[in-house]
Amino acid sequence: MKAPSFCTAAVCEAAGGDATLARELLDIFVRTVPPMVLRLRHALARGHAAQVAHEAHALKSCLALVGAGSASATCARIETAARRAGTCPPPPEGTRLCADIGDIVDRVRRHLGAVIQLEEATR
Amino acid sequence: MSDTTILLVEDNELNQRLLVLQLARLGIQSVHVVGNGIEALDWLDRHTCRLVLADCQMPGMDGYEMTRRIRARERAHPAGAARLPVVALSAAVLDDDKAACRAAGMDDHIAKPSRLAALHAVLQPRLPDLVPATPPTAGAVT
Repeated sequence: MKAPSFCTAAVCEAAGGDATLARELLDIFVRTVPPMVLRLRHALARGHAAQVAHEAHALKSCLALVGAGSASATCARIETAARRAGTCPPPPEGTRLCADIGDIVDRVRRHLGAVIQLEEATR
Repeated sequence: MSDTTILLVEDNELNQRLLVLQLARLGIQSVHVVGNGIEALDWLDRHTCRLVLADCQMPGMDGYEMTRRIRARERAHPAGAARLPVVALSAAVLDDDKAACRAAGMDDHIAKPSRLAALHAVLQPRLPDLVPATPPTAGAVT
């Protein structure tokens, strides 16, 4: 199974090629996504479909911004099921999604760390 | 009375920041941000703007209901209020979703996550003084 990932080109495109904007967006991503994932976990554990839909919707958008298409699509599917049928995904699927998003956040953090190191090395 | 150009109605912080910065790149500095339709209607009771950018799915009151109420207010205005342009921001891009936007009274639709060029293309006919959406020539992220 392919490891979850993100795409710097996607962020760059959204930022119109502006490296400063792209980096700021990634900073916001690593700060705001982990609490969303935590709330999604709690909603899944309680079987609270409305909350699952809300958190999946928010995560879908954030993941799409960083080019994490597969995880974003999973969030979209979970959101739709929660909104229209009031159903939550089975625990293994929800757990896997949260873990995948966690991996993506870690990759983004490492990318940002590498960018900072490069900037400092070239000063 | 305010001279706000755009009212941004969006509950996601990342999308809020993205749009505010993208709009700044297009020359729009005067942007007011609220988190749902209720806050938007409350703000519009006391202020004016040239255009509303609204997410469709938000807690409290979504973009569809917010727009329906804006249109109802316009129809009810004794002197006939000018139509306020409302542009939907939505990750849903199916024809049914676009139809829902139109049925609610929205004027156009931008797919999320928003791209600078797409944002410019939708806003420019309604805000002719926008700066062209050209990317910078140096410093791109690798």
